[in-house]
Amino acid sequence: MAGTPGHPFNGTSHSEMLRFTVIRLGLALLTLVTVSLVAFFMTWVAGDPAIAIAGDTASAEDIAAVRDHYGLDRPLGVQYVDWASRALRGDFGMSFHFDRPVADMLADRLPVTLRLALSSILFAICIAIPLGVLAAVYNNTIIDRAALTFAILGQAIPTFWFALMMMIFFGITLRWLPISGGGSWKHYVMPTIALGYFAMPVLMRLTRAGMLEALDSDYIRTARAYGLPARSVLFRHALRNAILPVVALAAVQFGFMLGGSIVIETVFSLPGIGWLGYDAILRGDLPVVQAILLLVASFYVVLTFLSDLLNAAIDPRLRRVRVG
Amino acid sequence: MIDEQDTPRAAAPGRVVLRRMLRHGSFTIGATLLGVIILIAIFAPLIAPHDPYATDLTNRLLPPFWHDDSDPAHLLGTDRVGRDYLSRVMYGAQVSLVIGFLTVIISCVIGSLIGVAAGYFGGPVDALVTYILTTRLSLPLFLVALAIVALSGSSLTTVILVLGFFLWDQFAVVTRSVTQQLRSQDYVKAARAMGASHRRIIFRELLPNLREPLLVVATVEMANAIILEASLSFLGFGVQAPLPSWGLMLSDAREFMFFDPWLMAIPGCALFVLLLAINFTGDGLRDVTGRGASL
Repeated sequence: MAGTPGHPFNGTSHSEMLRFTVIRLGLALLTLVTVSLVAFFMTWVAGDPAIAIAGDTASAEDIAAVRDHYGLDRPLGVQYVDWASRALRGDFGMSFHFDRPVADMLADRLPVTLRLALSSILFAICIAIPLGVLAAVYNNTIIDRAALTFAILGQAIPTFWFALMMMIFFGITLRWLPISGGGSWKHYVMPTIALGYFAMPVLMRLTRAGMLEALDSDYIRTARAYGLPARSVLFRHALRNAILPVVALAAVQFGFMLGGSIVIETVFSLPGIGWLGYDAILRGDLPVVQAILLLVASFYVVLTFLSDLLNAAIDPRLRRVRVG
Repeated sequence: MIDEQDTPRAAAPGRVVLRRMLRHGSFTIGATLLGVIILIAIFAPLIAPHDPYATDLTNRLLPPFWHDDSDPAHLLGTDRVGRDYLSRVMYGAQVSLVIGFLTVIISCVIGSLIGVAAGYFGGPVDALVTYILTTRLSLPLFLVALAIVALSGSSLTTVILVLGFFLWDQFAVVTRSVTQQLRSQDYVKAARAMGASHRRIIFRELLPNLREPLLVVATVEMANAIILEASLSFLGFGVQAPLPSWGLMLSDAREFMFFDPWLMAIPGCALFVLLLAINFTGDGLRDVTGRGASL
């Protein structure tokens, strides 16, 4: 890719990229520590966890026993370090409600959420990129305007309501698709469309903007002047440059979806971590809420880190503007 | 003393912007629609045909006007306790708009303070802001909002405060980058050379230039806040019944959705139209002012 004429990879210093990577990595780690503090202390803001475990009707002795059993009488700092170091090893403690290790519950539920987020983001990309390219190629025509309107509709339609209306139409009226559960691929069709349509507009706008910029650039004009076939100019040269920021943004959106599918999972009774989180909040099952918070934040931090690196690799200017 | 037109990104004079706005199709549609919804919300007590809280158990679940057996006194039918649906939809606009406006005011103040500080002072302040921003973005907003509302009890105030304290990120990002660009402008340097205090530079020279980009972000975040409130209320962690929130109405409609789907369709359509109006307005603003194109 570095050989493409006019491509933004133009041999800037590696040390700058290295410095950027180190700073970003430090920031990512610091963020994770902060999130773990937030997750941990949320338990204490919520009230005495010993009472939450023992139940409202428990006697003072019961509560004292629980406190002793779970080590809740130790200083908070000690408890945090203990909790965080266990969490690092994948041990998130026991669920208050189910008497099961939280890690096992997450392991059961995570594949569903990953599948949903992955299929939704792929669905969004598969619509956003062709539509963005079309809108840019036919800039300021009816096609462009139709694509932008389609994007605005996607931004404006409330995801959960769209999901419910699909449920009524495809699930009840037409009886094409199952309306709840997560047993087969059919269960994922409507949730994927609902989440994907929500994620699509911003990707489509970015594709369109990137393509407009690329098509207007000198190297594309040069390529055209050399008489390269239009198709090759469009797909091999222009799209290749426009697509990387879109992929980087899609990675961040994927991170958002892992935490943002709570309503969709709940509406469709899809047994993923979103629905688990909602249930855990309803029951006051704090270890589960903490673990999900930490897990989703970690995914997001890792994906943002990778996406920042990708963007900085494409555009050297970005390495300098942040932190420094 | 310093003419706004000296700045390279200065806005065109007001009247030109206004004329361009009126010629912009989606802005006109969006702003008109938004204006109508705001008027409905303000005058709901005068124009709503019924009291939105008055129950009538003899007239439960009356269908809307497009059904044969509808009641002309209840154009959009009645809900499961016989409250007039049209009146509740009208009053529901109040809830959504209040949430939207108040949330945006809180988050705009927080975000622009943080963003201007980062962009203007740079260095360690900027590094601190980057850290706070990254942390905020990595917290899954909906999960945290659900947890906080669940812990502190659902009410209109809680929802507004939680959303207001969470939705400031884009305000900070945009003001930070605009401030960074403005900081090195000659007129800001001149003001500083003349001995103007930081406070004076920020309030007199920087903030007026931030108006338009902030307005564009505000439309995006307002739509965001309204969707989040509806989703929270739908899950039972938003505002409290019997307040006529569209999200609560959708939540109530859930158990009837297969037999009386219109109960779900109507408040959802109202929500959709409001969000569409805000999005069209924001899109028009973005095009006309040429700001916030990166959003």
